[in-house]
Amino acid sequence: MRQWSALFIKDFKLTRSMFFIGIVMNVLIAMLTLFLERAADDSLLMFVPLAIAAAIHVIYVPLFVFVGLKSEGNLHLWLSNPQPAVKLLLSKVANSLLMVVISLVLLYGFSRLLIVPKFNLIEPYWTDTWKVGWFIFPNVIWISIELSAWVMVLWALYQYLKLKIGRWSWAAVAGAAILSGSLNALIKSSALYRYVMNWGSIAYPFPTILSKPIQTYVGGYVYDLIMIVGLFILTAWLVDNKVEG
Amino acid sequence: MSEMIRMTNVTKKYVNQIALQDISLTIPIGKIIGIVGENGSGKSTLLKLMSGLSLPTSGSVTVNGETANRRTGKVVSYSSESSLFYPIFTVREAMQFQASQFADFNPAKAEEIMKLMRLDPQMKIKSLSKGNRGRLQIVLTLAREVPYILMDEPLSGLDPMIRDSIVKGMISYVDLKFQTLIMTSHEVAEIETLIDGFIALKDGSLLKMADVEELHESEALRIEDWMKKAYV
Repeated sequence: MRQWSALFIKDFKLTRSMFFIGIVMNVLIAMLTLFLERAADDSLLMFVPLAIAAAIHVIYVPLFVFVGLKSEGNLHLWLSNPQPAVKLLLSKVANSLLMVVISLVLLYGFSRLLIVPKFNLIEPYWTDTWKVGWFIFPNVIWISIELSAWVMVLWALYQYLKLKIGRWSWAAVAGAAILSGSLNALIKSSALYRYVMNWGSIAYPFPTILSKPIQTYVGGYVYDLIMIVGLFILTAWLVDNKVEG
Repeated sequence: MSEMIRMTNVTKKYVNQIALQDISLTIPIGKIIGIVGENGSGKSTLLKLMSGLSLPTSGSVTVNGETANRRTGKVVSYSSESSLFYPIFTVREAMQFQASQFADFNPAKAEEIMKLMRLDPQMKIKSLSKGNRGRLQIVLTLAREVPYILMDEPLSGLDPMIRDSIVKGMISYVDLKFQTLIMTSHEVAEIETLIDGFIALKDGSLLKMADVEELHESEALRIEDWMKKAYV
């Protein structure tokens, strides 16, 4: 436990500057919202920056994981730690998750503070707005985790290739990213995917905001989970067996 | 389990550059070994391969009978010339972090070596001079009770006036009953009296591996003088 907590605190300290920059940006977004409240009085326009800020959180986990990995420098120190790569990587992912949750909670808190005086603007949509929040936030975090799994595997691939093919490693990694992204999109759009994965339908109705309910499938989340775990295991294997310090 | 580092026909290439070529050697427990050679001769690469942080392009490296990989860090304490410990930590925090990650890290020994190295435990690593960062590396590496201690240029950056006392103090913390210290150094003359044997590399190839005494007796030369002849 002491081993894990020390690793976690170290990873937090390595990326805390980025985390605090994110918090400051949340404050700036809140200030922009206040400004828009005055400029576009009695309009829903004032909530646009908050919505954009929430959406931007999709890149938080991959960004923090990448910054965390970059901050390990030439990797001597990180790779010298004989803990399994799964543990070393999980510490970085867990840190990034904690940071994205804190940032989203703060953003939500700012939104509540700003909404209260303008409640009349969204009163008709209030129940759905609340529910949309509960739908969006976990999905933002989920997509963010999936993106971070891709970022980690591409980072590990780059670290492996740079000593093998030198300057071409960037091109090879970019090629691998495009190829795997296209393949993933192709699989998700195939009839076979729909046949196998479109089970456990869940409908999210937001009648005051959207005319049609948003439809998701438990099967889709299972597919994403398999991808995340698979990519994570591949990254850990690359770090343990192929990446050099 | 064979208590030694064994390299068999090891070649290491980086992209198109050959760093080491067809190296075969064994290093037993209980020795202090110096790796010598010109700049770019492959000294650091050799150490990295022994630590498992670098992997051979061909051939094999085993440590205590197991193929070397990054998990070899369990039995090898390695300090690199180029690596800087996490600058976010103070000297004391760095020691505490190492103690949390390595069960073999001896905090009492680390404290003693830190005093010998005259390091301020409250100093932030990012504020340390190059020499003091080198001293911290020595503290963190030597405080681990592992069979193999690998140090890449541990003397570089140390003040020449106190280098001698630091080197002697450093050696006193190696227990040759169960440990081997392998270090690279440009300062061959300064380590000659401390080492039992040496590995001489030239252009990535093994030029000579011998006991220092053997060299003194067979050729009546110090390592530095032998190098002047051999590297012409």
